[in-house]
Amino acid sequence: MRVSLVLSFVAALALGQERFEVAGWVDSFDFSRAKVDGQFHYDLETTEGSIRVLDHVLETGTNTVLWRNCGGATMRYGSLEDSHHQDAPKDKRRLPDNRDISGWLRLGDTDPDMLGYIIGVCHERGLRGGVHWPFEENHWSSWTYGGWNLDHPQYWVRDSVGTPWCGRSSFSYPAVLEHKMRLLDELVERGMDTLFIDTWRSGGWGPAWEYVPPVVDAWRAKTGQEPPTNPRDPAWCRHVAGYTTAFFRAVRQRLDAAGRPTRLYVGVSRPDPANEADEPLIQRGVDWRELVREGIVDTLVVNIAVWDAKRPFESTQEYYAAMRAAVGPDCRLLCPVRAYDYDGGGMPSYAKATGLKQDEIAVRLTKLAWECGADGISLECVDHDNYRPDTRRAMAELVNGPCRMAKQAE
Amino acid sequence: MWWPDILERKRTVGRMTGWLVLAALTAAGQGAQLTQGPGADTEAAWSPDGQRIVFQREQNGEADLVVLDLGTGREQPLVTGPGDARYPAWSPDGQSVVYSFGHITTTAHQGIPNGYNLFSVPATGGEPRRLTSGQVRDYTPVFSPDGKEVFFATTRELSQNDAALAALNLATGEIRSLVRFGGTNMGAVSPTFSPDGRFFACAVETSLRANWRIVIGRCAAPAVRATASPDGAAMYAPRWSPDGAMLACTGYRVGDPGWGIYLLRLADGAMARLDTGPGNARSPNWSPDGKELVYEGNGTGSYRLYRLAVGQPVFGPAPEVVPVEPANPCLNLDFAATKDGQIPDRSGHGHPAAISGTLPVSPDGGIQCGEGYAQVAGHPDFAFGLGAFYVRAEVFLEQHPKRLQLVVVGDYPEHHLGWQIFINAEGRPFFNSRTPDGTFVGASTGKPLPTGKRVTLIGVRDAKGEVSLLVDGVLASSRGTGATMAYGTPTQIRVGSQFSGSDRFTGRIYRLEVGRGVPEERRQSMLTVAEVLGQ
Repeated sequence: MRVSLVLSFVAALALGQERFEVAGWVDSFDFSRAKVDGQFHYDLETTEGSIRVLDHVLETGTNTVLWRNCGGATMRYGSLEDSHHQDAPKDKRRLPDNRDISGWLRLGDTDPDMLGYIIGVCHERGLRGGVHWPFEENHWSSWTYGGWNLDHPQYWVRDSVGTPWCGRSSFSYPAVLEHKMRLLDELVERGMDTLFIDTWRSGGWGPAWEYVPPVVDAWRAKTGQEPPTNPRDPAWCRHVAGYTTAFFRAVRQRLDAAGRPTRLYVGVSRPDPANEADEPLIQRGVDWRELVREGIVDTLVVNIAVWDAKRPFESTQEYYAAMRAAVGPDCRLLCPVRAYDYDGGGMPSYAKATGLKQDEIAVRLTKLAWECGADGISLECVDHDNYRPDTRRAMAELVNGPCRMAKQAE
Repeated sequence: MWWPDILERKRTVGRMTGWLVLAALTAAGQGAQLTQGPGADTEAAWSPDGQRIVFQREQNGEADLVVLDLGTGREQPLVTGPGDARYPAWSPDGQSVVYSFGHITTTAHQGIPNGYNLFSVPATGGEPRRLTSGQVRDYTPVFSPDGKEVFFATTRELSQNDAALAALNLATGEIRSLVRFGGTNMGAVSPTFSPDGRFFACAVETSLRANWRIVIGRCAAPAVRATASPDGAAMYAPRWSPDGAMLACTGYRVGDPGWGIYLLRLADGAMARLDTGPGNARSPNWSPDGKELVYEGNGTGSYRLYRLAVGQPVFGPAPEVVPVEPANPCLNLDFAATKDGQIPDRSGHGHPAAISGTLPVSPDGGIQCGEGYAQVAGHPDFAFGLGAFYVRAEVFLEQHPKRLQLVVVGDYPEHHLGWQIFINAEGRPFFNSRTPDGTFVGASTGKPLPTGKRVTLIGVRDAKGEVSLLVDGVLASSRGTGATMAYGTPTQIRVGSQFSGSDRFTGRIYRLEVGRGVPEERRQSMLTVAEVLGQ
């Protein structure tokens, strides 16, 4: 069996096939409270703790590890460009993260540079090591805002009646884009080979908050009319998407100029191949079709799939196949095998619909992704034991066995 | 109670630094530069005698305290060494400086003995004395005018990404709570006192998308407070002027090039933005005679301190005071008079509710929900647009539900869940409205509703987009902002279930009133600055 696997692996390489990718998203912060034998198991502020996280993640068969650059919104390296919530007492405009212990982590320290260190470990182990960069590089609450944003109110986003949102900046301002590029440079310096920008984690931003002068003026110039007050108007969302596309384009160019190949992944929730005015466009102002068409992204990551609880796996199979066709041959595709279930659609929802156990669901979804010609799967997010031991074992066997190499899309 | 065992003491250094050439006047009307770093110089406070300024100097992520002698231009380090000393404030007699200090040398799992706590140090240098302790964040302290208390921001007993205001009694060591919201993304920081010590002001943030605003309150009754800064502006770090007439603060209004120094006149709410030249200007602090301000600006690239004569600031027009629209019901269901499957409407607008299923009337005049629901047909009377509206429901719970239950929902074409009153699986009541793109904006109490008694819930979306909930007349701890959905004519108002008939309420409803405007119970907590100041 082992010999045949090796032979098939060599044959696959000869055919130019890639390893079926298992991209584990890791927010180290989510390990901070995990206990083993009654003791906290992962001291995230140490290299040893990070290695423990990595070892746990790898039990799922993960071969691309996407480390959140701001775990729990705590920057995991000493950024010269920005700061995050560990400095809540230092910046009185930032409300603190009061969760137990979490707020006191010293991950912003430069020694060790936790992000650079752990990416290096991934590379030493022959893994892809990348960064999971939430859109706007922060997560949700006010304690996650980047310090740069807080100090540049003139670039804050605004709603349709002109009220600014403290701490959120618009991509339409060149100064904001330049700031993002400087942040990107810092991530590149940490050795990542993959950058995954997750547009679901936008901190609640969307086209409803892009009524800023550059965007509004451009709308007026284009249409001769005032912008629609309904921020879900598809034409307005498409207009806003022009700015997010420009951001991704700038990221692509910056990565290309970095002197080494770095893959750019973009994650979208519930992309709908049959409806251009889909959730990514309406809720996040992200036109994934354009990103694929222009070749800006190497890989489209489906954060949440669209499926029918009455025929869960059949509809998922149809959806994965439809996404494979919609993305086309020039862009890689990762399909979700999610332990998370916010907004529905993850394995808990499949369990509810099918009565199956998690390991059974994970295997079914992984096989569906593989069979439809996806380049891999994405695991959102691998926390301590949320992919249960049986699941981790079953997934690892599958992706190191029958699904080791990506199937060529037909 | 005092804590003499200072874990991480700062070395107090009396070493005089070399005299620096500091006062470089810039363009007319702009501040004169006082410091030149290195690092970032911020959070300046003027001594009571007007001769010195204490500030924090930040390098490599940590901060020291420095005293600047305005007569000689000499800087004298006050608190130095490893760790982070911030937010210095003078005692009224000028003899000591209180500040926040933290030095975390261990990882979280290795154990952290203390967080950011308050210390005081003699203004001429010496041993710091610990004032507070604990793995919390105590910051932005300020002495009361009589020197007996220190007001400060703290995370004590909080767990939801919030900050509260507390007061430390320097004689007893006791700490009392002043302003506490107890909700996620809600906080009060940077307190300041009126010269007579009767009032305080602070910066407040009340939800995820809210901007910092300036709130004033009565020291003797901190719950009596009002917002002093205008809607749509972001303002923080208030400092009361020595004559008591205005607040200086850091502010941003749409169209500004960045953060600036604003004066806020308390008598009428008029504002003046001072000319501080290019770059941000932040954290103003008054000279004792009230003629000058010291602030931090980054016009040169890094934050430095500047002093600026206030002169005769040009105030803009006073904002128009828009009276709060009183409640005007357009639906008032009389459950006791239910007959032939209809619940009559006593509001005079003629919107009876039709019952589907069964909703038996209890002996004491309520309807027992669970086996049906009532439906009010959509009507332009309920098209609230951007205006204020409210929902009042008197309910009775025998026991807490095991899953979410809907008391009433306004079902609109804009959003099926346009507004709702519901009880969640923990028994906590919620009222919610929506942002223009349909995002939930809710208000709730921090604890479950009492069972076995009638409780009146009042949900309000006011004309500014703030959502609030009152339980038996008491304002709930958690509120939201940004609920500016424009409501057209609803499809229906559904009583006793979700719009689709699911998530049925299993308690009793005695009263349901929906209307425009703001009920008196809520208006009582929407005070003006003049009302708080007793003017």
